[in-house]
Amino acid sequence: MPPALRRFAWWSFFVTEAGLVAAASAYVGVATRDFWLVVASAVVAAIAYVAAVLRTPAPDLGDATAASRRWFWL
Amino acid sequence: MTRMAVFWILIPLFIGVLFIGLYRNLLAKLAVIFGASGRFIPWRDVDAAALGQAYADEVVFQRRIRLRGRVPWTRHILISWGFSVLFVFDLLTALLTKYLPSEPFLDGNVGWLFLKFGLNLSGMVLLAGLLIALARSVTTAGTEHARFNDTPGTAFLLLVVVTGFVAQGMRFANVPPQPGYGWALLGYWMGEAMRAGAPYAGSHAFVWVTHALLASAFLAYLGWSRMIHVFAAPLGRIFYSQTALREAKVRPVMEGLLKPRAGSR
Repeated sequence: MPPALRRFAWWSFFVTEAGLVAAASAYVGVATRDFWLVVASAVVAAIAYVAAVLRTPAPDLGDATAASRRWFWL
Repeated sequence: MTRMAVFWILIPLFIGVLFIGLYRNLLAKLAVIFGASGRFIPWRDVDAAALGQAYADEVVFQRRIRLRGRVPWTRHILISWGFSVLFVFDLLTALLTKYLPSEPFLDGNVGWLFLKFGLNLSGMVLLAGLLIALARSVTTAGTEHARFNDTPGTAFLLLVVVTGFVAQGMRFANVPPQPGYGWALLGYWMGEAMRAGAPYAGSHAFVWVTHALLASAFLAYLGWSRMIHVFAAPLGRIFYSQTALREAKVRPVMEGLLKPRAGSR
């Protein structure tokens, strides 16, 4: 994967999750029980995302173009 | 724990599932195509006019879908614009009524009515598009025209929209009617139709939570289904509007064709 695309994959995810936690904390408060549940939810999502990124095999061009034909993109 | 707190606890998980889907089904595959086509073009080579034209044609007016016929275009433009505007109004409503509440956005005031009007109008546009899509799924089943149908995605989104309108109808039915509530359009009309069964206490909470969970789950579903085209199709069309990128893709192919094959003279 091109480094720029990989960086985008990491940054977009973590910035979004941090934004969600910040937005949630504006509603549930900081250091409350609900706040820690929001943080736990974001941490679980982060672990799952890191695992998915590390474990996703690089598809070959055939896989990639087959996906585009199936879902009508590119 | 309030209903909104439950929603806020779950939303980072749902968005995480969306991102995993986008990584596996879009970014990883995009990377291969970029790898084969010469990867990114530098910013200075971006053709801004072509980019703007592609955005207008493919995202705003969806001219390529218009080539498939009037009904598919109407269906798609109602769903895409209804969904996009509804999403913006959802964010505005959360921001202006929950996070930064001010006098105009209190229940029944002019700002609140404006938000309700925007939410309901865009929701009705989306609902109309989904009903057309569902009808078309039924009428074109088994034919060549069914190729672009997405019945599971349509049914899922329809469920989100219907539960949203029912939750809102229950909420309006629970309170006495006030001048200006009519700006809430279908939400208000449903409330009046449901008034005979009011008050809705437990059932309103149940439908509200169901709607919030379904809406969040739909966001996660976007990355794992044909609905990924919401991200991928505009992206692909906009990239391919760039001559430099198209040339970068064609060049290695042509060079490969011109190379003498091993063993040939």
